[in-house]
Amino acid sequence: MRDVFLSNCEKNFINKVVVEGHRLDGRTYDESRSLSISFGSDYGSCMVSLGETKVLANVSCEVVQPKQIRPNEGTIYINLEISPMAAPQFEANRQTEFSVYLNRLLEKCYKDSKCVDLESLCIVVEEKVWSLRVDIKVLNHDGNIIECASIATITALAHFRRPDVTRSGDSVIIHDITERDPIPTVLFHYPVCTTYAIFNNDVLLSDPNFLEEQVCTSFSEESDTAGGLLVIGVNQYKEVCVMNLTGAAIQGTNLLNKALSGAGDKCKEIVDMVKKAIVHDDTLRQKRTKINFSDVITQDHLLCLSKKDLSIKLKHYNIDDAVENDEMDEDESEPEPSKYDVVASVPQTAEIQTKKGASQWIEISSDSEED
Amino acid sequence: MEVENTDLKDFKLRPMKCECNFLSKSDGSAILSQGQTVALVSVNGPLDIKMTSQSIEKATLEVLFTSKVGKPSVADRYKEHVIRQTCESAILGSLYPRTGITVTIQELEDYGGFTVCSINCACLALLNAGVAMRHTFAGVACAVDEQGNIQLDPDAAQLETARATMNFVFDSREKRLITSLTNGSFSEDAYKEALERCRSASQLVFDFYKDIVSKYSYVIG
Amino acid sequence: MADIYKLIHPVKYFNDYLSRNIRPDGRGFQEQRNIKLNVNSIKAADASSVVKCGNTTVVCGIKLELATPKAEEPDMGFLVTNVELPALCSSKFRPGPPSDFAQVTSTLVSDIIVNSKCIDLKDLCIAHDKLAWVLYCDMVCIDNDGSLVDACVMTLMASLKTLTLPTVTYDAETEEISVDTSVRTKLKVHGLPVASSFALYKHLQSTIVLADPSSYEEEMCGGIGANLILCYNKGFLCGSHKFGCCNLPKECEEMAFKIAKEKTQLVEEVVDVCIKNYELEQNK
Repeated sequence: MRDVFLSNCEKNFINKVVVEGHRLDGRTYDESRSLSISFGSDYGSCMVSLGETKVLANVSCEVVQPKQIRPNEGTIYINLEISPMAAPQFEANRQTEFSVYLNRLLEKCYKDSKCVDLESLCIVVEEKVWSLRVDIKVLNHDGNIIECASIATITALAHFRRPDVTRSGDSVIIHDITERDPIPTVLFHYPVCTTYAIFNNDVLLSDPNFLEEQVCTSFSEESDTAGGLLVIGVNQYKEVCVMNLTGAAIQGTNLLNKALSGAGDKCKEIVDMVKKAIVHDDTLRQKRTKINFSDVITQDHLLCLSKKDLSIKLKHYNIDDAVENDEMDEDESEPEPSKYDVVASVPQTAEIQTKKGASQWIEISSDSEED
Repeated sequence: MEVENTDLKDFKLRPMKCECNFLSKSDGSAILSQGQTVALVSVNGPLDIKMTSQSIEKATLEVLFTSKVGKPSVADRYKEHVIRQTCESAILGSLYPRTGITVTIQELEDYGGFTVCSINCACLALLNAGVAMRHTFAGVACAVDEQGNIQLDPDAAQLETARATMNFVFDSREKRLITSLTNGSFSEDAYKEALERCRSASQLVFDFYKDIVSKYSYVIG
Repeated sequence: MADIYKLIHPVKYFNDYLSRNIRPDGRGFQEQRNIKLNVNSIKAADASSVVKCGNTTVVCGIKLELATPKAEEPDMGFLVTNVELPALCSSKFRPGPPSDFAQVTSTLVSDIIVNSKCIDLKDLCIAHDKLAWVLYCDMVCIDNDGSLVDACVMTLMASLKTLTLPTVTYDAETEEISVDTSVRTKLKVHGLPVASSFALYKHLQSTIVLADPSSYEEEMCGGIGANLILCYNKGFLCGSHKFGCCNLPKECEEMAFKIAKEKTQLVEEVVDVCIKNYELEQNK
């Protein structure tokens, strides 16, 4: 990773401002940035933006053999990647500490909490089960990736539908989406992660952006209190699924209680929003409207353009059959004699040798047509 | 090749929508949709890179291609190679020696003609990032079906029944061919004909670039 | 003296040769290098061949295996091609996982074979949905001196033309497979795709097309590998791949097509003579 530097004046300014009760973008301590969810044309692909942070999630499935210790359960595999698209400091195809940390948090939240009904993914016990693969790509990193990624994961999982399967005796037929309606995944509960930035041991900022995250995790020599990031994953029943604290230790449980209750309320709101978005998308699909990521491109920004009618008038040629044209070509020009001789020299081998003709080094006579 | 009917016929490209500066952290980014196919490209650079990859005479261009489903495959490397060669011929690399320019392409939807859509989107992102270029480049795809009819900018349904598909990329100054990629087998005449049609149709894409740049440039300038 | 000149002014050295209508290795712009083709070189493989095109040497070996066809395509066999560029073929490659260029060449070669439709995968099926042949075709480059794709396609086609499949009997009830290696049938190959590589050089406002470039010429023309690859099979173009680096005007296109067609005829002759020679030896 290339280094990103935080200047001292930025750090001091933000520390001061936060303690006084303000944030750089004008939000209060508990406000989150605006959340928007858009779906792609396939089931299970969605793009979530939390302010400027954008994440793309895609769920796909395939039939595999189950693990021997769990012969009647399917599997989930979650993979989060950060490419240089997210921010210039990331390098391609490199598993940094940061991406390992994010992957582990997502695994704890979605795999270890058993939110997906894995037994419903079984087709034939001990032989065939569905394996779900969730690919998450960070498109833009403006802070709080974990919250954005977790919303994207749960939305994609809830939106995804797997193909219908029928068993007839020994064989298993997997139906295409056009033949039979696909089946939605069964989710027991909907966990979502939220992040709090801790400043000065008693200030909790909800949904920190990139600058705030950097400031609170940086070491300050002046004050003897340091900050940290608290990630809490809660589901809609206010049950805690994952909790992770980076940075300095909290000095009391008051802060933690405050964070937990705040997280519970926020997660419930987010889950309601997600469910509403999925229902809305479903009704649109029932009406057979085509949904596509191109709807993400808004019409009202200055930097966008939309052209519906791109037509051009061209002369209308007809292509004759290739056979006729070959005959025509042969009549026009005789094929030139080959310059090479093909000789079978050694057994099992053939090689070409240039025909011994007039030496081409001498340029005197320009009548020679040997070319 | 005989010219049978010289009446002018209308040929259409699919409707195009784009938004520049879609991502806030990249130096330049663009999202482009041609019909139902959508591509997102981000450009970062010129930035410094490792000593081993530096070139003393020009900028090192790195292209990363990720498809939606995620598992990287050998075919992705081939697309990266093609797009890198196309961008290298356009970018004035000698103005940024010892630096690196990274172009990252993300596939969002693929309903036919994705390679060409990503190349056009890459050009928009490079324009947005302000990287110096000799010329802009535009790609047009076409499909040849069994009867020999040529269809410009085919969608997924037309691609299935096509006998051959061709993707061409042209430059804006003299409309010369920069890159060509073909699939399937076809006669030489079909190739030449398709090349000429795509060459003329590329003017539409160049006009699109001009329109979007003029739309926001009068505000800046 | 010429070596020092080549080191100090590489571009001027190259330009001086080209302005006298000759290439540094003595060939004309459209001349092809010497091709030597040998089949059945590796006894352990089911079919093999070696081609030497100038200095570029590629070895191809084909191994046969049995497998169950995919559920979505129950009557098609498999053709798996792979190109390896080990560190010994050129100083540009290091030991380790396949480099980007090796992967690109692999994709190009397999695209050309698939697009030319010279092998019908249905011919490789033995029993519908139960048993089919898998052809593992591995091409290893021993010396990379340019025009790599040409050599790979040539050697692959020569091996495929000499490949014979043993007869396999499959008993549907008992699911027994018995392979008889003594009675063999030839694999049906439709046509012979031939790839021609070109390097395009921008010389004083005009573009020069260099046929069958060596690796030095490919480097001077700025590319990693050839700039233009055309592939013909039975009169149809089954691939036209151009990669950046120099924009192509119309006259050069026409010339490239002509040269590619001539090369196709030449290579077809070479492969035919070689196989006839081999069969004569076999029948002796």
